[in-house]
Amino acid sequence: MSIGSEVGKVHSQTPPRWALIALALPVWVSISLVSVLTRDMGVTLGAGESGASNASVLRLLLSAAAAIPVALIAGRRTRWTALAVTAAGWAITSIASAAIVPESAGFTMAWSLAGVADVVGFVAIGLLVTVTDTDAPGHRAPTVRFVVALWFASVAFGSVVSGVGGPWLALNWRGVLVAMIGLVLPAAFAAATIRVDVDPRILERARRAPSLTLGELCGATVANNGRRRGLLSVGLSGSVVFTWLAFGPLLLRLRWGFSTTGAALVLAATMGVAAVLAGAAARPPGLGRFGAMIGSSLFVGALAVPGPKPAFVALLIAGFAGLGLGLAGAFADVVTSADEGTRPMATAFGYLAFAVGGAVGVLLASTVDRRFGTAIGLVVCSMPALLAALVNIAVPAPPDAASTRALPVDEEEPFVHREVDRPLLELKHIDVFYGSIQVLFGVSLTIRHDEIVALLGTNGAGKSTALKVIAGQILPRSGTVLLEGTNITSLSAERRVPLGLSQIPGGRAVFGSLTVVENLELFAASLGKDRSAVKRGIERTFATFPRLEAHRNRHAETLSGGEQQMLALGKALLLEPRLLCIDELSLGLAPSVVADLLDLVRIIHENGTTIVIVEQSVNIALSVAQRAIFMEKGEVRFDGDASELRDRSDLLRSVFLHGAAKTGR
Amino acid sequence: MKRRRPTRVTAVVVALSLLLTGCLEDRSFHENDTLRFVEPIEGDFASAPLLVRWQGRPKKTAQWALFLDRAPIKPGTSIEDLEVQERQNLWITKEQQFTIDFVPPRSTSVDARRDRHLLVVIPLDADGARIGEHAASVELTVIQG
Repeated sequence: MSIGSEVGKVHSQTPPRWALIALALPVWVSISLVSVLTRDMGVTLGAGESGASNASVLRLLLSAAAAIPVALIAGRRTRWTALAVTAAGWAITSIASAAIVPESAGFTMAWSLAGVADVVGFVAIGLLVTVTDTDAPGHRAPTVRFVVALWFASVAFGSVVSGVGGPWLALNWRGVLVAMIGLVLPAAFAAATIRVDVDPRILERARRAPSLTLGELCGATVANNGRRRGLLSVGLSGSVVFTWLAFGPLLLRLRWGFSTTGAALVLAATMGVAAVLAGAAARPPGLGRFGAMIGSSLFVGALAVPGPKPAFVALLIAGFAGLGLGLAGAFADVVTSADEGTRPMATAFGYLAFAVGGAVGVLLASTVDRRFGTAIGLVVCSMPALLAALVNIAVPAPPDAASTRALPVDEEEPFVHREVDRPLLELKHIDVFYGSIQVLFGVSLTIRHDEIVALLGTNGAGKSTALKVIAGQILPRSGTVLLEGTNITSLSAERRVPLGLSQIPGGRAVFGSLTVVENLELFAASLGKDRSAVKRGIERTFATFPRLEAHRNRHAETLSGGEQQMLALGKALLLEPRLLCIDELSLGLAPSVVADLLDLVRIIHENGTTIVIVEQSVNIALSVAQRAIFMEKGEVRFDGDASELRDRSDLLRSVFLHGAAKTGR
Repeated sequence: MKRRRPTRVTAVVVALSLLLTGCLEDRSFHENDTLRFVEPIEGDFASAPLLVRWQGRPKKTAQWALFLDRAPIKPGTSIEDLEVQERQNLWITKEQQFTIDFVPPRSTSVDARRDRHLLVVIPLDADGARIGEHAASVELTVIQG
């Protein structure tokens, strides 16, 4: 079966639901088995209730540990089929091993191995989502929510098989495990036959993109403040869900007198309603967060307040409805706010938070349970549900249009054979926050080859922040940075230098305690160990800037301001970047010195470097630039020929007034 | 004729081998009725003193261990290895019945006067070791006087 043919046609399509179900069922159906059949297994193996919780914790921790390595493999997007098959195979092998090993230690080990299947399946599914659904702009990630819903639905299905099917067929827990294999085997084979023919344009884009290091992937994933809060919310929800899975059926039997079958049905109902709400609701986004808060409160209330059995069950189910809403919304935010290259890692981090939260919750509940009883343990551990709701409310919903940093295919030219056809650099829909304060609002700009562009605006307009995004010093919360069409959004600053991006930061960008030569040698470090290249670069710089050669052995701090800027510009000659970003070249310098420096800028440009110059002084910038981009309050207000900007008095007035106010004139 | 993909064949062989291994190990997949409680029965209401009776006698059984609200010992391990403090809510008998004089309340219950309890009985050999995975369990509600 091929879903790739659909991928290329319409971007709002989603992977076939049956394919996702076929993947999910073998992997997650067994999760609830231990909690439902705790008594049967404990009696047979002599493991007791703590044995069941220990097995769950081990499974969670192992799956958490596997999350990032699996995501690294998944980053090679064509390998997802292998992952899917591995997940299904591993799940079945684990279930089968658990069914036949005689000792509890062996069972725990087999059960823990199933944790790897959990995460492999999750990331495989996440990857399927990555190459298809998440390329669609302007939507609320229905497939991501469907996957979260599938998790809950698989657990609910497993509860019914364990708690209802088992007793009905007079099967013991081993029999239930074997029956599960029989049930999921066709699904596993179906999963193995799914083939994804990814749109060639997506593959071409992936091929061109530089592979990210683990540090870059992790950094890009957690750098986003909104995503961090989303992960916290997912972790807290995981704590509640897994604590309930580990201890819920036990509590239902001992505290409320449910039979094993009754407890399994209540568990299935809680998971089922969470599945329905997770898959169905997220629009409007606020509904999910509001539902999570109300639902979590009901969940805590259900456990804390002894009441009649029907009221307890109703509160419990309502609570899980809210949790399903909140978890799916938070997970969708975590995944869809990442770009194509980092999305498997974002999915892995989401799962990591879910599993670690679950392990901590189960351990905490287990400890409190031993000292104060299961009911108090569950109440204590349900508190994270309230915290999750509060965090959910605090997480700003990503705007629809920018909810995905993945580039829609139709925004790109069909096939580009010559790199030169593309602009040198593009910023697309960049949002940047400092803490909770947004400083760039959907900034999009283009820098073409061989031009000098002036980036203008008042103080605080976001010019320097835009340069930092280009240089890789700041990761945007959303949006994309393209270098000749290649996505470099998550690439670290040091890895952008070899690609030809260089920046001269504002102020005196030199090391004052080092001599001129030492400064140049330091700049040349990125040229590698080729000493002759370094020497040639320094000679070239001195040839262009004879004044620097005259001061070659002086400490940089003893140079004049103009000479220090000259030394900073020398960096550009050394590295021969394709794009040089200069921040506040004229700051604090006399006009005659600035004129000399502008001549040097022109020389660098004539040598083949594209230049972006950030200036508060409009006259200085426009005297050298061919094109101007004017920013105000974090947005681009003008983008056109430099000569046209001179006629826009409405824009320039703010700069002049601002400057006048600052100087007291 | 279309050739089958080797990965699928391998997967089927692996899955069936695992299942067959389970059968060869003589693992039962059905509820084992050879050992079961006669009194009380599942879901019963009772009060202390609690008379417990069971039937069925696996091979080599010399005595029985009765556990209340706790996990039984693991298969193959001996009751003799337990420390004194590990012997709470545990009774050894050679008969197939036993009377528990006092059933302590569980901390998980809403109403301590109507508590849900779990009883487990396992067969032991002459040395006090558990015989296989044989066990019977029953859950009942004890009404405190």
